[in-house]
Amino acid sequence: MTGTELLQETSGCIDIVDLALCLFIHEVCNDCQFEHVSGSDFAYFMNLKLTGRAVAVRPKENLRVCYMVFSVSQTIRPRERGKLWAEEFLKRCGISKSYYDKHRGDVCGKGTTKENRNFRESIDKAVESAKRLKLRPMAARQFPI
Amino acid sequence: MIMDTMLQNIPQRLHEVNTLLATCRQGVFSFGEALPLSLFYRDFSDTNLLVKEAVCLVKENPGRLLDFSSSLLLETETYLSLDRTPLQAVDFESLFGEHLKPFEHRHEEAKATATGLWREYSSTSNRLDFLPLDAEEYSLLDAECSAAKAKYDEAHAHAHHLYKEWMQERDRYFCVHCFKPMFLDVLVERLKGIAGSIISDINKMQEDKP
Repeated sequence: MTGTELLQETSGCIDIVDLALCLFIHEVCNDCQFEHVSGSDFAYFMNLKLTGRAVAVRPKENLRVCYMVFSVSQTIRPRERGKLWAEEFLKRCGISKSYYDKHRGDVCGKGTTKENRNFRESIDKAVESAKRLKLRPMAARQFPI
Repeated sequence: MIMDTMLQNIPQRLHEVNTLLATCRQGVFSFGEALPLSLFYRDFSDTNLLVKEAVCLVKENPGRLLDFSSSLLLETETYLSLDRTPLQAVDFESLFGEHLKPFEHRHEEAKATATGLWREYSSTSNRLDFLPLDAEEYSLLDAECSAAKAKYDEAHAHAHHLYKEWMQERDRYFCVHCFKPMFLDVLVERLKGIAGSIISDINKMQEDKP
């Protein structure tokens, strides 16, 4: 038997979306794009697992949720796994794949609202922070004078 | 974090966090105290690594894995039973900013010195441009100009060194800047779940043995 077969229950704890990223996203989306949910439940929800309380998308937030899903899916490797995650996550949010394909980039458009721009910046910052958290220091930088 | 030491390290590191939380006072929280919490979160938030390590260790030494997991479970339970309200008032971003200020200040000072020396060198160099090459004053000013340039180069190198030091410190402790106490709560709950699952799996293995 392999280690994974021996530790069946434990293997079920593997996450698709990095925990730190889930929590950075939770900071942006909780009470805004999603109804109030604990950090723990949000991390389970992001990882397509059962949650203590149901997680629901707030009305008129589908567009922004689509951008969040797209950004998170880009962090998942291999890319095919990211696409599958996005499809399953959208189902849980009650958003159709066709709506997602059509609107996932709308918050980046030139004519988008200030709220959408702010949201996009917050999501981009969350993704960047999760990346930076994993980085170890010592990368040399250029002195700007 | 080296993968084969993660399981071994977590209980000890969480024990240190628990000791800190048990002794910290409401409203008094320094950068030095914020650091072990945020470093713990940074080093162990990738829980997949822990699961992978357990999967590797279970065949090799299930007894050792059981010991690590039991210690981890115990520490997570201790953490979750502690009063963590003092943490709620801590502004980790401000602590990070305060910690970085001296680094920034040292760099700004060195940069101002270097800028002043650059101006001196520039002015000497400009004067030099208007002198005939064979003038006696030229050779005197040329030496002065070279000395000014050498002083500037040294000051610039020092400012560059301090800038690097500042940026390295900023990157090294980015985990404090972005830390929220809730992150640690969620992580510890997850670790508790993983430790519990490992113990449950090993118990099942032992029951299945003839």
